[in-house]
Amino acid sequence: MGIKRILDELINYAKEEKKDNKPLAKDPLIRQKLANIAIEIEIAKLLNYRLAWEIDNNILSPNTASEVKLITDEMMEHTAITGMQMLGPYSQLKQDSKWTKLRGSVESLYLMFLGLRNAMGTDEVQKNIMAQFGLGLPRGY
Amino acid sequence: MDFSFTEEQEMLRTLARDFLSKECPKARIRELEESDEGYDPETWKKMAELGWMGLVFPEEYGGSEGEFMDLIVLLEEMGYNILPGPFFSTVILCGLPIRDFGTEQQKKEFAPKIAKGEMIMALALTEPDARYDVSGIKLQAVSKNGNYILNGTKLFVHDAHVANYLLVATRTSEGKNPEEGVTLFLVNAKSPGISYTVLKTIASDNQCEVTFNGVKIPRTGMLGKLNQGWKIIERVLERAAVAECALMVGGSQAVLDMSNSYAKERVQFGRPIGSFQVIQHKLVDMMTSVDGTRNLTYEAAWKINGGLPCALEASMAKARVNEAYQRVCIDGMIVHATIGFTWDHDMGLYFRRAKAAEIAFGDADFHRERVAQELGL
Repeated sequence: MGIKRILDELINYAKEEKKDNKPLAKDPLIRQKLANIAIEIEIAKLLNYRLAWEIDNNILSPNTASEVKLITDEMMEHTAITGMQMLGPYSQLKQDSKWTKLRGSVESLYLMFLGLRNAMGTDEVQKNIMAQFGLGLPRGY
Repeated sequence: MDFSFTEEQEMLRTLARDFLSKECPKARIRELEESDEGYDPETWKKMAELGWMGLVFPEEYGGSEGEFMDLIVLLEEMGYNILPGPFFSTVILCGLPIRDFGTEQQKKEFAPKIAKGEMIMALALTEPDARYDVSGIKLQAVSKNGNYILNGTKLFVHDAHVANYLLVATRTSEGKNPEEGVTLFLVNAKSPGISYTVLKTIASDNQCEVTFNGVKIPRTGMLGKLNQGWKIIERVLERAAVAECALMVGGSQAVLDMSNSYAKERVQFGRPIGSFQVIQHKLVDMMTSVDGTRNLTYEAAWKINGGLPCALEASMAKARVNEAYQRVCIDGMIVHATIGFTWDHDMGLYFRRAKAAEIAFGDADFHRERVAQELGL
């Protein structure tokens, strides 16, 4: 849910920052993109809760675990890319620059999401697991 | 957070799935697409006997005191089987607002008949500019000698051609605030001055043009208060969006199941195509979409069930389900390849309905904008 914090910061940034004398928050494209991230975070949150509920109820579900990983990876990637687009040239600044925005959190996420995506199994590995355990398909590897 | 359903809801789900698969095979759906009525009155009667139409009405009006979540369970199964007919129009779009905002007299008049399957209703909301916001309501209702006279056109009205009564959103005042000038009327669908044309649509889903030419309505036909109808409509639209999501999630699951089965049966290069990773990953993407959107839909429905505000969750759900159902259908078509594209294959039935459902009660951009507003943007 560190990503939720980044979303909140991006929302505040959009309200305060101006482009062509208008707040970024008035730009329909930015509004759509931020709404999309919020939806993806909600989906990831609910699926995390679902996994926890399944564990609490002794339901062994490798499928849900892989699904959580997959959805969270995608949500992080989309947040990082959108956040970098919103910050524009400032997105490239490191945390310790006096000009950096949002404490450099978006730049950090951008550098990190691919690593997190690979850690504990890439998306493709997760999809192989889900095909087998969630859909009952023969092993494809 | 509890992801389980009650025993009664699980029973309802099983019963609905069995009933609909027997009662509503795809061959019958194709026949009904070509029929004038667009639904099967015999099936409708049996649904009433099962208590579905009265599910959410109080016992005193012939209902069984069910919850909104019960409706969601039922709608998911109806979406799975793409049941044609006026259930959504009658119960979700008209029955619920009568239950929640009707006078005692109106509840007594309408609810028992709906519950028995003797009353079909349709919501006449959108007009030729096809908007779901308040500025879209232009049909005039003018007060005259204790009655109201309706003039104008409603468009994309589901099931109006078979309805006994219409719930009509009218413009009764042109004040500064457009929200304070909408009034709802319960209108006998056979009143003099009303005419219908069934529109030919992608989903063959019986959407109509309804023309009102000097239609006289008694004042007692008003649902809610004069000029205060938009609040009711907002609530109807919120519930309708979530209910439509349930239909769509059910449809997406059916497409996933069909595609998954096909991938196991279809052999190419000496092995089932489902053993190829490229097909597996497509199916997994479909499953992830279905599961993710199902949870969003349930979350919004839980909030409605608990009487909590749910504008954010409802719009999150509809925005995402709109795109997910379409994507699942497209990916399912790709898994099926050419056979899925043929007119006789069931995939097309879902693909066409996914488009109609996406448009109903707001498309993805419309609901993402709502989400942005709810986020404080």
